[in-house]
Parts: sequence; C-alpha cells; structure tokens
Amino acid sequence: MKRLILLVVSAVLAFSAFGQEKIIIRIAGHSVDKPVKEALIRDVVAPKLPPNVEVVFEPVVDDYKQWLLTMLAAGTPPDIFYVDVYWAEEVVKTGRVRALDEFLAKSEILKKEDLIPVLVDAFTVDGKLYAISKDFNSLVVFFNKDMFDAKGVPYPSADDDWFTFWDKVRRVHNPPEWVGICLNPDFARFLPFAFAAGMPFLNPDGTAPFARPEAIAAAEWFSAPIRAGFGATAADLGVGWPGAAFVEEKAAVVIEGGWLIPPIREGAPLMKFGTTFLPTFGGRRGNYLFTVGYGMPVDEILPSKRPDLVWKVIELLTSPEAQSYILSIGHAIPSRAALLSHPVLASPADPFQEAMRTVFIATGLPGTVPFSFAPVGSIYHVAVAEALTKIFTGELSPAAAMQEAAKKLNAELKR
Amino acid sequence: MSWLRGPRRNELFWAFLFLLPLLWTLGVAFAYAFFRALWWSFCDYDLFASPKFVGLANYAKLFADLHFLKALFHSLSFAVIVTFTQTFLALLLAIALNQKIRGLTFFRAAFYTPSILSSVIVGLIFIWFTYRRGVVNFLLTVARNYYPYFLSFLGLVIVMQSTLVLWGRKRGFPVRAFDPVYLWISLFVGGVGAFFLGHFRLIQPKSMPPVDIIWLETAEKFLGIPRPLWAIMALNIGTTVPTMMLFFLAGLQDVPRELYEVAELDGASWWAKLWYVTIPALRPVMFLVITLGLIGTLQMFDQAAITSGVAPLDSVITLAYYVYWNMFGAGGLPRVGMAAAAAIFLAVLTLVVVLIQRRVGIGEKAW
Amino acid sequence: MTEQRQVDQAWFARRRRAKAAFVYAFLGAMALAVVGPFIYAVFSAFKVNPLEWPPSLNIPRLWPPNWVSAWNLGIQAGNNGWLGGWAPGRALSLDVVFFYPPGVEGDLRVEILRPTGRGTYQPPDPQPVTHVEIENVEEHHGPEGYEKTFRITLRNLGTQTYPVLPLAVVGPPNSRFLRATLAPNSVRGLGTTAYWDNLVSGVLGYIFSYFIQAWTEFRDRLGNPIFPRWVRNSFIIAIGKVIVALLFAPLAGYALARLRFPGRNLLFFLVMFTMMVPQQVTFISNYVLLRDGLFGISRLFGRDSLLNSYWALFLPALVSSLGVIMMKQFFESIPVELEEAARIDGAGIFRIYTRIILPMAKPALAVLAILTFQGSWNEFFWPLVVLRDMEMFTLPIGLLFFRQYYGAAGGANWNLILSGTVISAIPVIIVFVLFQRHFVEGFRLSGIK
Repeated sequence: MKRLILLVVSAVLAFSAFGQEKIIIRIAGHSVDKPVKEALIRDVVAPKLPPNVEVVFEPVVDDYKQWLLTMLAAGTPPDIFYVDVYWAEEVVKTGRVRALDEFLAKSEILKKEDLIPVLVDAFTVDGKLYAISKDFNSLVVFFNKDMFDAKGVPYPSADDDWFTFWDKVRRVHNPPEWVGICLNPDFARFLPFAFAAGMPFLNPDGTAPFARPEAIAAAEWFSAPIRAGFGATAADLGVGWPGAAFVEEKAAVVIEGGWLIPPIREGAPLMKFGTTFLPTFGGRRGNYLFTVGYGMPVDEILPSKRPDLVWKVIELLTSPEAQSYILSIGHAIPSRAALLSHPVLASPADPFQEAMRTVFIATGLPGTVPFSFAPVGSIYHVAVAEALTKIFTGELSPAAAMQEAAKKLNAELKR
Repeated sequence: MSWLRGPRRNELFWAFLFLLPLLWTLGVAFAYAFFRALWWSFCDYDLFASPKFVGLANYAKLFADLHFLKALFHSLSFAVIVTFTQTFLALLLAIALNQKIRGLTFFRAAFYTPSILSSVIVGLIFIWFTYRRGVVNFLLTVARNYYPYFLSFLGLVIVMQSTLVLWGRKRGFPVRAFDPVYLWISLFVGGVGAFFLGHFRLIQPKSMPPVDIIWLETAEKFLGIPRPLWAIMALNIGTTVPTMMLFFLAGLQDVPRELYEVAELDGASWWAKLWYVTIPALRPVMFLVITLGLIGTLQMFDQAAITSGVAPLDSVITLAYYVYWNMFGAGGLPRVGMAAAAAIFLAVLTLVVVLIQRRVGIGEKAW
Repeated sequence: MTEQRQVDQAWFARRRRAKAAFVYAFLGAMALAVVGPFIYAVFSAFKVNPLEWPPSLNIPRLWPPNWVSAWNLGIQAGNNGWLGGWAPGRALSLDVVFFYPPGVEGDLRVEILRPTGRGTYQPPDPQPVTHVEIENVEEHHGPEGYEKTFRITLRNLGTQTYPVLPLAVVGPPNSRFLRATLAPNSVRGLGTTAYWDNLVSGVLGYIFSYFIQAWTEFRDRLGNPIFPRWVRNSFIIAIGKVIVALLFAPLAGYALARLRFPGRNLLFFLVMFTMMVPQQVTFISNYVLLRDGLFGISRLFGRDSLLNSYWALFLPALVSSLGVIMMKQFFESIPVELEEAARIDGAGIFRIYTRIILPMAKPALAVLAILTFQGSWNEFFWPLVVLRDMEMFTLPIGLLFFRQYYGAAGGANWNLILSGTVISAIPVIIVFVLFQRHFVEGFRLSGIK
C-alpha cells in the first residue's frame, strides 16, 4: 500500500514538474536603468511570481527607439519594452503594440482611476491605451541655497513670474565663482515657456506659430541670461550638461527634471538646494511631462506566448509596492496617484525628497503637456533648436531667429 | 596508406590535407561570402524574407543617397590626404634624420605604441583629448597666451645665430647658415633670454579666453571637409608617421655608401644627392607604402565607429561605416542589398585606386 | 679679406655631433608626442575628474603623503593597511583644517554617507553604528582669521566590518576647508563641505580606487561583475586564436612553399588578393552564415544560431591570410637541401614537416603567435558585428560600451573609462615590451608598416 502511494505521489510530482517548464519574460530598457530594474525585479517582482517564471532585464545600449522598431519589424521583440511618450505614436503606428485596455478593465490590482490622468492620456492613441506609465518627470527650478544666502537674494519660489525670476538670477550671478543660471539652447526647456506665453502648438490654420509675438517674447526672455551675461551654457562652463554645472557648483540655478536628483546625491549629497515650480507669465505656467511606460507586443509576436503572464509582470512592476520601492530609493517619481500620501512625498525629510515632491506636484499643475510632437514630428523641434542655437551664439536676434524657424517649419509642413 | 600509389599522389594528398583550413577559409569565408554579397547587392533582402532580385536598383539608390555620397567623398578625401601627407612627412623626416641612430630600440618602442594598442583605446583617448575643455584646446590656449615668449625666443635665436654665423665666417670658418653648434648656442641663449625677460616682467603671458575649438561635436566644415574628419586625419597621420619614418630610415640606410661617395666626388649638392640617389633608391618601398596606405585608408572604419557617438554621423561617415550602418545602424530592418552594393562598390573602388596608382606610378617614376 | 681657414677634423666632428644631437632631440620630442598622451591618460585614470579644466597634474591619489595617510587609516580601521575595511570596535582619526574668517563661529558637523555607485544597486547597507568625536586640536591666528585644526575620531560600535566609509565634514557657513590628513574627493558647499569616498580603503584601495571601481562596479543581473568577464573573453579568444593560428597557418604556408600541386600559384595569388578585399564585403555573408548556424550544423548541437558566442569569433575564417603569407615566406627561406636530405632518407612529408620544418620555424612561429595575440586582443569590427549580449563582449567592445554608459553627458565618469582603458592595454603592452623584437620582425616580414 505504501508503495502504491509512493508511486502515485511521485508520478503526480513528476507530472507537475513536467508541466512546469521555465518561462522567461524579457524586459528591455535603457542600460542606465539596469541596476534599479534588476533590484526591483529581485526584491519586488520575482517573489510574487511562480518559481518557474523568470524575469530578465535586458539593457539596450544603442538608440533604443531604433532597436525597438527593428525588433518589432523583425518579429522578435522582448515581452515588455519601454515606451517613451516622445515616440509612442510612431511605435504604435507599426501596428505591433498591443492595446492594454482589456487587461486594464479586468485587472484587480491596476485600475485606470489609480493612474494619474495626464499619464493615461499620454499613452492613449486613437482612443486606446498602449502603455502603462511607470514613472514620469517634469521640469522644475533647482537652486543652490548657499549661493543665494551668500548674495542675500531671496530664494526663487512658486510666486515668481518671469521678471522677478530673472531679477533674482541676476542678483545671485557671481562671476567668476558661479553664474546665475546654466542654460542650454534646449527646445525642451524653451517650449514650455513659449506655451505659457500663449503660443499654440500650431496656428489655427496649421502653420508654424514661431513668428507670433508671444513666441518672440518668450525667445527674448529665455535667452536673456546668455545675451545679458548673467548665465552661461554648459559648454561655456566646461561641463556636459547644466545638471553637472549645478552639482559642481558652477551655477546657482538650473531648470531640470527629477533626473538631476541622483547626480546631486552622488556628487554632493549634503548640498543645500531647493526646488520650485517654473516661473509664471501672466499667471500661466507651462511644463513638459516626460514619461516612459511599459508596453507589450501584439500576441502574435509575443515571445513567451503568455500575454496574461506578461500583463501580470507589468502589474507587478507598476504595483504600489514596486512604485513605493522605487520612490524610497529616490530613483523616480511613480505614476500612481495614491503615492502622494507616501511619506517621502507627503512629508519630505531632505532636499531630495522635497525635490521629488515638487516634481510630482508640478506634473499635475495646469499647463503641463506630454512631451510629444505628434503628428508634426521632429521637424518641429529641430526648427526651434536651430533658432535657439543661433540666438544663443548671437548670430541672429530672437525675432529674426524665430521668424526663420517659422519659415523652415512651414516649408517642411507643405511637403 | 598502401593504396596510394607513388610519391606524387602522396604529395597531393598531403598538400590537400595541409591546405584544408586555408581552403575552407578561402572557400567559405571569402569566395562564398564574396559571391553571396555580390548576389545580394542585386537583391532586396532584409535578412528575414527571401531575397528578391531587383537588378541594379540598389546601385542606383546608392548614388541617390546623400549619406552614401558623403561617405564616398569622405573616404576618398581621407584616403588621398592621409596617405600622401603621411608618406611625404615620413619621407621628409627620414631624410632629415638620416644617420646612424643608437638606441633605436627605445625609439621604436615608443613609436609603435599606438600601433599595438587597440583602435578603441586610441580612439577613446582621442575623444577625451579633443573635448571642448580637453587637453588639445588647453595646450593651444597655453601656447596662445604665451606667444610673447615665443616671439622673443625666436627673435633672440635669430639675432644670436646671425651674429655667430657672421662672426664665424669673418674668422674664416666654412660656416653654414644653420650651423648646428652655433644653433645649439643660439637656442640656449634664446631660451634663457626669454625666461629672464619673463622673470623681470618685460614680457608677460597674456590671459586670453580659452581656445574653444570644437573638434568633434560639430558638423562644421573646413575646405568642404567636416572638422571631425580633419581631426581623425590628424590622428591617423600622427600615429603613422613615426613608424613609417623608421621604415624609410631603414630603407635609406640600406643605400650603399658608395653611391653617395661617388656623387660627392662629382661635386653634387645635397639637393642633387637627394634627387638622384636617395629618392630613386626608395622608389619601390614608397610605391608599396603608398599602395598599402591607400587601401587601408579607403577602408577606414574603426575611428568612424568609435567617434560616431560623439560626432554627428554625417561628419564622420566613411564607405566602410556606411556598409555597417545599413546593416545594423539605420533603424528598421537591415538593408542588406544596399550594404552589399556599397561593399562591392568599396571593393571595386579599392581595386581601381590601386590600378591607378600602378599606372600613374607614384614612386615608380621620379616625381 | 677673409680666407678659408684650415679647419681640422675636430671642427667637423663637433658639427657632426651637434647635428646628431639635434636628431636625437627631435626623435625624443616625437617619442614624447606619441607616448605622452597615453602616459597622461594613465595618470588621469587616477583623477577624480579627468575632465577638469584647466587640466593639472595635481593628483591626490598619486601623492605619497596621501598613501601614508591611507595606510595609517587602514591600520587604524582594521590592521589592514593594504585593503582597509573598518572592523568592529576599531577607531580611526582624521585631522582636518578649516579656515574661519573673523566673526565665524561654530563646530564641524560630521556625516557618514551612503555608498553610491551606478553599476549596481543593492538595498542600502545598514548605516554603520558609530561614535563620533570632534576635538579642536589646534588654532592658528592669522591676519585674516583662524586656522583651526580638528581631530575627528570615529569608532565602529557595530558588529560587522564595513568595507566602505564615505564621509562628509561640514564647517559652519562662510568657513573654508583647507586640508586634511587624507585629501578629500571633492570640496563643495562653497568650500564648507569636504567629501571622502572611502576613508578605510587602505593604500591599494585608495590609489587604485577607480580601477577597482571599473573592475567591480558594473554587474550583470546575477550580481557578477562584467568587466572581468570581458577580460576573460578576450583572453580565451586570443589564446584560442593563437593556438588555431599556430596549428593551421604553418600547414598552409608550408604547402604553398614546398609542396607541389596544381593551382599553387593561383592559390597564392588568391590569398594575396583576399588581403585587399575589405572586411565589409565578406562580413555580411559570414554574419548570416553564423546566424543560420553554419549551414545548420550547429542545430545538431542544439543551437539555432552561432551568433553571440565564442564560436562566432573563431568561425568561419580559420586562418588569416597574413599568417599564411608570413609562414610561406619564412619556409621558403629554409634551405631546400635539408628537406631533400630527409626525403632521400625516406621520410614522409608529414614527418619532414613535424620533425624538421616546425622546429626550425620557432622564430617565425613566435612572431605569428604574438601578432595573432595582439590582433585578436584588439579586434574591433568583427566582435562589434557578432556580439550582442553584454556578457559576451570582448574588451574593445566593452570599452566602447563603457564610454556610452559612463561618458554620457549625464554623468561623466571618465576616470572609470580611462581605468578600463589602462587595464585592457596592460596585456598587450607586456607582450610588446617582452617581445618587441618579434613585433618588428613581424611587421617587416609582412611588408606592412
């Protein structure tokens, strides 16, 4: 009798082991995310999955978007991939990204209401949702409190408008030790201000809006530090980007997003700095929402052939626990509205947590738009970037440069 | 092996056996690869669906592709400028320094350093050096700031040397204008003099804003060629000239002394000796060097790939990189047909250039 | 009226020596120009910020007094001056000097930081439990203010050994950090805050901190460091290729040199021809060949594709044309009589080859081995094409990745890139220094350079 039971039990065990083949779920993302992602998978995601399922993060070294398009076209994508709001529409248009609405409707852990609305909109194309935002970022003003104290200038605050803001920056400018602001001719920094001034994305008749008086005024304002001499570009200061100038204490103010937090933590952990929202114009404030989400390929080319399992992994990656984990290690701002009550954001304990809270709230403020140029495409910001570069080098006046940009874009749009 | 009859069969058998790896390599990795690439250059192929024959369409598309035309222009100008500059400079230096040199081993070790290191190492150090706030711009800044010192040094040397030469000649010595002994003295006086002029504040270094030449992260052109490409040319020339010079030096020192002695007996000047003895002796070597140089530079890939992350692609693209880029870089699926067509074009171009070089015979005839 | 003086040989001799001096000076300058950048790169691998402007040679990690301090701190922290580590119960002291302008008062604040590193993320280590004591040891009055020296003593009250002790020392506002026993990594906060990466690194850990970081920081998902993997890959492949070359190239070279068979000249011409055809032509087909598993053979062994594996770097080309040509030329220089004598004695071809030819070929084989090693170690194009997984990279590709990862504008860690560069240059430099003669032989034998 015992032998029979043993036989049955071992047979059952053998069969169950037989059915448990190993399933590997592959996530592809930017290589810089590798350490955090792998920690997240190890500590939060893997414990909740059955033992035969393994989640692997595969970093992509080169141009991520090109790589993804290639993989989707070739039919060999990863199970989960990053989707950046900037090129989301382009990737969705390949027709090989799976719409997630049905999963979301059935999900018990993830509900549409849980997610911050503007993030849902960012990944909605033609009415369907194609990616779940994993985190987001927006622009805030970072300022070095020690430098402001040294010059006796009050800190920038949420009440500042464009003019009081530059006034403070001018007063804190202290050559040769530090400049007031480190500013690059970056369209991603300029356009929110242009929008706040009232410039629409396109004119109602579909032509380029850059020659409008609001746009020119914004360009004049934006380039004032460089032209008037109380600011410098990153290259002038000998660094690769304004964030480095801020960490190395070469600039008192920079306009960056939450991605500046880890470098500060690494390079100057005890820096006394503060963050506040971008200055307003006529009561209006603009901002960009940068966000990356998790997407899945359509079922036909899903490598693991288990859409439900892949969705489960996405759920786990964006679960409150996962986002709490990421928030605690100060890496990114989570996408769930409820996280606002997380201690880090509710009662920040240090400048870093304060910065994260500022970024989080800034995203929800009116005037924040997703960082996307669909349907016009990159020609839009290429024209702006060229104009800004010419203004910053003094080659053209703001008015002339913006008009040239408008002409260029119109020429491209006609094609 | 009793069934093999005769030593001849035996030799054939062994030859075949010995040659197997080579035959495999030539057959599969070369001939098969070459003809497949040729076939694919006439096809539309993306590595997944089957190749579709399209005739000469790919080649036509090549010449309509701006990237290809740029790559072609870059490769040609790179090949010509680098090969001839490095050969010319190396020759010049070898002639100028032609004499018995002791401790050659030490110099050889130093000059071969860039050749033995990987192109990635050389490339990374190059990128770091040519940053906007990098070593190259720093040295240029220092040089520019110290130009009063250079000018006074130069002035002192000229004055001193002229004085010494005239004095020597007056005393009846057969002194040449650049007499080495006097030149050392002049250089010493110039250096010390410039130093003391600075010490007593009669001249001072300027403090001009730093030299801010963007070497790599720019698309600007100089004489029609992008600046990053010029920088890479300088890198190639700078790392090749020293070893090439040693090579020419060895060749020069193989020239029998008797030839020179005969020329001197005939009263030949240094110019005549150069023209009629030295250069003819180096002709075959120079021909080889130039031919190999052209082949190598036409196919430049590594430096373009290494700097393509820093410099704009269109500023450093070469034909070899264009092929790679069509396969793996351009986003979307590999464009095998275009890559193969460009590769075949590159191979043919190399052949044509070598044939032209043989015809024109730079190095073969007197130039 | 000037007359030609009778000048003696000595006068000409002086001229010749002076000219020779110029030649040597020029050669020396050229050598400096060629080798200088690499030496500077090696030095800069020790810098906190190799991108500093203006670049300086003031490198704390190469300053011997700092070595002594690091050693002392290592001894204090755990009796290990070489590698450091803060053992339980141990106390260590650091002297720091701050400048206090008149009117500035206040004590120092000492904070123990969390270690950071971007190659890996581990959950934060528990903060060391410590007792901190700050003692104002000395004061100097100067015309402009006070120079105050403080002794900071830290005691490990916990039960475990901490390998890393990052520290920050903050002076009151408007004070200025001047110096300390061990040079800090950076000074921020407008001069008030001095940061140390690791006080208990020991001498070796201190001097080679960036090398160690480059070696250990970047890890794969299992937590294994990747850089050593790259080194291992490069070694395995280089040594493998040397063995393959030593086996196959002489065979082909001998066949071409001494064996008679139809098409011998054609074959030799073909080999020469291959050297002219660029890699770009043949790599496409070879890549596809590997992807398809070398005519499907690999499927027999359970692999669909040979890409991304060691095999991809050895196949499909087995011998290099250069090696074959070199061996052929060498074998042709061996007197035929030796072989003829052996044949008369009845030796077969194989025996002649192994017993007579190969032993004589040792110098050429040495050159072949060295050139193959160097070529394989530095190979760039083909590994770039066939290797996709980070774990399979060889060093050149890994270094390229390092530059993309650590050199990006967002966080330039060029000291790690330079350290990686130095590490990967070491084997080739060693081989070159030991066998320089053979290198040059090789270059000359092959007619290149």
